[in-house]
Amino acid sequence: MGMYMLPSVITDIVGSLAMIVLSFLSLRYTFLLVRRDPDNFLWSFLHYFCLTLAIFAISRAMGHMVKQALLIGGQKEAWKIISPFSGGLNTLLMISVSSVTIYYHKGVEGYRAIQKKAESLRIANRDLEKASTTMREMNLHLEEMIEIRTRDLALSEEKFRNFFHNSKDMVFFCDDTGIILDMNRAGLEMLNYNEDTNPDLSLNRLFADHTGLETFYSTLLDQKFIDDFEIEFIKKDGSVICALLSATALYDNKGTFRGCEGIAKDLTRLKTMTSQMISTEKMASVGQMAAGVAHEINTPLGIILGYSQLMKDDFPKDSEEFENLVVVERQSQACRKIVADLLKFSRQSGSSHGKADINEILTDVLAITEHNLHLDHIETERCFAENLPVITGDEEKLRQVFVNLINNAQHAMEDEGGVLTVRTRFSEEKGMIIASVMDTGTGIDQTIKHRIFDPFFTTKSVGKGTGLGLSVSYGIIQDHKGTITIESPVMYKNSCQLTPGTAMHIHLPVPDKTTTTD
Amino acid sequence: MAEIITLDDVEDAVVLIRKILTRRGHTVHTFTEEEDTIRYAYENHIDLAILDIKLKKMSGIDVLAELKRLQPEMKSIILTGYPTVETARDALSFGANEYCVKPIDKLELETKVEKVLAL
Repeated sequence: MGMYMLPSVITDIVGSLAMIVLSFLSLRYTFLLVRRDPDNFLWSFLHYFCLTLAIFAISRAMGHMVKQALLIGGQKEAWKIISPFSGGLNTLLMISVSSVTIYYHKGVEGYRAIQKKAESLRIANRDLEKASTTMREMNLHLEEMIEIRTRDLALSEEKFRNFFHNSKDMVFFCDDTGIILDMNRAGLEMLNYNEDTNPDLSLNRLFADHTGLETFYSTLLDQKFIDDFEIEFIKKDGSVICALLSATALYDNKGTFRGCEGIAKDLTRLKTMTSQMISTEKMASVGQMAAGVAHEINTPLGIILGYSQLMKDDFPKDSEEFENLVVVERQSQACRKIVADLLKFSRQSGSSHGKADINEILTDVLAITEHNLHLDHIETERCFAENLPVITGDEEKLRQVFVNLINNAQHAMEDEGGVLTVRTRFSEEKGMIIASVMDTGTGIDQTIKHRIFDPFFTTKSVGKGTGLGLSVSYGIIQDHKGTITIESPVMYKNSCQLTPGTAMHIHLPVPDKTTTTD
Repeated sequence: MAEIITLDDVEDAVVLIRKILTRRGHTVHTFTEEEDTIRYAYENHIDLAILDIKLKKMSGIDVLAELKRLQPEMKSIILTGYPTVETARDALSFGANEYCVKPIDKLELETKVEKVLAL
């Protein structure tokens, strides 16, 4: 072997060493990579590739270096024996490297398939997570919703509770036997049970009228409700109030009658108003009728009166005929007065409104009546307010009113005597003059109190009163936009002692200063 | 004495007036129909007409206006059933010299007739 071979030998040996070193460096690098990311297929593949390469490098490089050493050592024969083994080992290793390389493709495919699976799994996972988030949100929302609903329910409950408690009408619930389960304050107040705790009430006992109760139940069961049913309730003290009842029947799921809920309105005020209206209406219609009758009677009456007066002239003054005609004339005159009263009552007679001083009117009236009062042992007392404002009115008619009131007072005291007090005062806040005529007489019976303003109603004996005095007075005061009120029996201080009697108060409005100046 | 006519829808009422005033020496013609009264006024002189305000067809005021047209010098008294200021004022504004409220008092009628005739 010549020296010319030296560079190639050195290159072979150094190259083989470098191959071993480099392959091991690669192996170490891939090992590190695999350690860091054991799941990565590529790194694993490279690791095994490098491992094979390293073994191949050792086998090949060692083979070359052994060959060079043997050749240098002149052991050509020995190399010839080893050479086939080395070549075979190299070939095997080369096959394994190439097979690993070929396998790379399949491996990548497999890896991709796995990756895909993993990806889809991750997507599924993500979806699941999303679903779970939504679920959690929904859950959270549900709680919120429940909270809102609960709040709404509380509000609604409060609203209905307030309605129940604050209602000015009676609201109640009762069971199928009519026992009141719950009733609001207004209802209890209406029935005077407001001071009792849990009063034992039932419809059966509250209804004043048995037939009413039957009608109530039959209607309720028939049409499941009852509307504006007018009934009378018995109050705690036994007195009766009128009420307007509306109720709805309550049924359970099976359709069994369980009771009812009802609202009742106190009609007492309405009744009073209606009766007042009816009374006013009655007055008006009686007035109209009276005016018609009066007018019809007027003519024949005038003829009777005229003829009796005419015939009186035909007889000597001391004859019986003359006397009889005087009676006819007197009685006709009495009729004439009634007719005139009737016409006044119907307000057909004209009125002239001017300035009227109530104190002056009362002084006039007392001057005329006082003599009569004294005959019945009735004393008069005057309590006139000073500086009483002047009102607008018909002096003549107002005088008539006071004459009527004083006549009635006199009538009430004619047997026993007494004190007649006439009082005037001015209520600045109401803008009213209050003129009162009070007596110490018998008082007005409660049973007739509501009838005393009715036309033709009188307690006086026949011939003493027409029953029109107060009706006429009522009409006149109404014309003056005033009111008459009765107080009887009234206890008022009279000469330091309380005396029962009747007081009639007349309220008359004082016109505003602006209207009085013109 | 005076020529007087009296008109009312009630016969008895006019007869009464006739009787009362005849005794005072007047000549009284009684009527219950508006047309008869007006027809009479066309042909006869009248000093005084006593008319009821409420008649069968016309109002006493209308009859008065018609009579006044025929005999402007005629005096008149209106009888009214309703003693209201308005009807009284109306009667006077339509040319009546006086008014009497029904039922008529004999003395009142006599006095008022004399008073009106003396005008």
